[in-house]
Amino acid sequence: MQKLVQQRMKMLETLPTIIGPVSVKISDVHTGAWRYRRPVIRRDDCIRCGICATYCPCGAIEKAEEGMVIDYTYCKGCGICTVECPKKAIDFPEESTFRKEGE
Amino acid sequence: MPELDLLSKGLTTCQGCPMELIGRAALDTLGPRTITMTPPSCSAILTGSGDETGWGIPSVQTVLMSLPAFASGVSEALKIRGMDDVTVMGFAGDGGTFDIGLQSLSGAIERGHKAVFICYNNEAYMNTGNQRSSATTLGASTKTTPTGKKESAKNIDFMLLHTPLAYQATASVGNIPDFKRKLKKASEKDGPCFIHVLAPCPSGWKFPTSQTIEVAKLAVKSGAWLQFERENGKITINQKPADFALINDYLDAQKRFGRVTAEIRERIIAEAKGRYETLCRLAELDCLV
Ligand SMILES: Cc1ncc(C[n+]2csc(CCOP(=O)(O)OP(=O)(O)O)c2C)c(N)n1
Ligand code: SF4
Ligand code: SF4
Ligand code: SF4
Ligand SMILES: [Mg+2]
Repeated sequence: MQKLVQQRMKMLETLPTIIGPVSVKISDVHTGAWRYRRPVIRRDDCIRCGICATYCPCGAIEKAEEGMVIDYTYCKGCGICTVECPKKAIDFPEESTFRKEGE
Repeated sequence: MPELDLLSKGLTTCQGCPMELIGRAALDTLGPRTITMTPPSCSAILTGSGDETGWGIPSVQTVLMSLPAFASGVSEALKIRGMDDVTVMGFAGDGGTFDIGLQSLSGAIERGHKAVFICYNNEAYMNTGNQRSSATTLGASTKTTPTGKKESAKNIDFMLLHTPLAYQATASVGNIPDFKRKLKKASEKDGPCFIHVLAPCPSGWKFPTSQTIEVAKLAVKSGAWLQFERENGKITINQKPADFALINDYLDAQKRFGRVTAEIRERIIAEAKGRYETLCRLAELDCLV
């Protein structure tokens, strides 16, 4: 679950009754289900420049200790990261080659 | 990368959406002390409907005619409360800026409210199914111009050169660091600012979803889109077009220009050259408002 969604759920518990049209829930659609190709970073070729994360419209790529990590719950499979990576370190195989997991 | 995303990840914009990327980069720059508003448009997907929203900051869904009036009110309320560290960010499309919200924008600029108006330009009314707007490029096919638009796009940047903006800039999704730099600058001004961002839309312009950034880069390289900023009465051109002939490649990369004739192509290129030439001359002046 996204940190933002968790934070908002916590806030909701402490809020008094809301009067009027106020959005209290965070949109959290499992957009990863749209994907028909999956970007996969080859760790050995990645130089951790962060360009893929800068240009991912979904904010699905983050820099972690072990390298760049893609959140497949939200990655829509647009392919922008594979095109923008200066090292061409992101493969883009068909989603069907992966076993469907409960992600 | 901030600890907490200020814009949710599970949003139902199309694959490869430039508008979502602009929204994300904007909040990355401005941080949590921001209040945003969107009119009916694709950006309304971020604001959400019912009790749901994608923003992790306060947001308002406005009407299409008058987002800048909403922004004016919020900006003045913040001023009365002495909250001068909060940025008011308008986030509208080309329809809501060039056409339907233009008089409201003009009024907000004239009154001098402290706010940043971002216009992500996807060159049509995309949210309602790709109808032409005054920002649509000559020759582009849309639902309402099936054989290609017959008129040239309105040049809103040149129009706004004659308004008392504290800061004005163009930017592109093809260069996010440049957009962030400009937005940071705008947020530090004490008056109205306008940032016009080119947003190539894979769904409406008809190119593969992976090409959003590449199309935006090509627009700048070819001179179809000019990158500049205006501050303290002076225009600075950020990037010189490499070769106007590249406009052919730019057009060929998008199916919406599939039926463009040689004559229209020439007109598009001639207009781009003319715009650049005008901008170069304007950049020699230092008396712009
Ligand atoms: C006054 C008014 N006219 C028309 C509409 C219908 N409408 C809703 S969204 C939209 C498209 C807006 O286009 P744009 O501002 O370019 O944003 P985009 O959808 O392209 O992101 C229109 C025409 C409306 N909501 N209000
Ligand atoms: S753009 Fe490529 S090289 Fe850079 S961090 Fe991403 S995967 Fe690694
Ligand atoms: S394919 Fe698109 S959505 Fe998925 S990580 Fe790459 S840029 Fe982001
Ligand atoms: S139509 Fe274009 S701007 Fe609108 S959500 Fe889809 S990709 Fe984004
Ligand atoms: Mg539009």
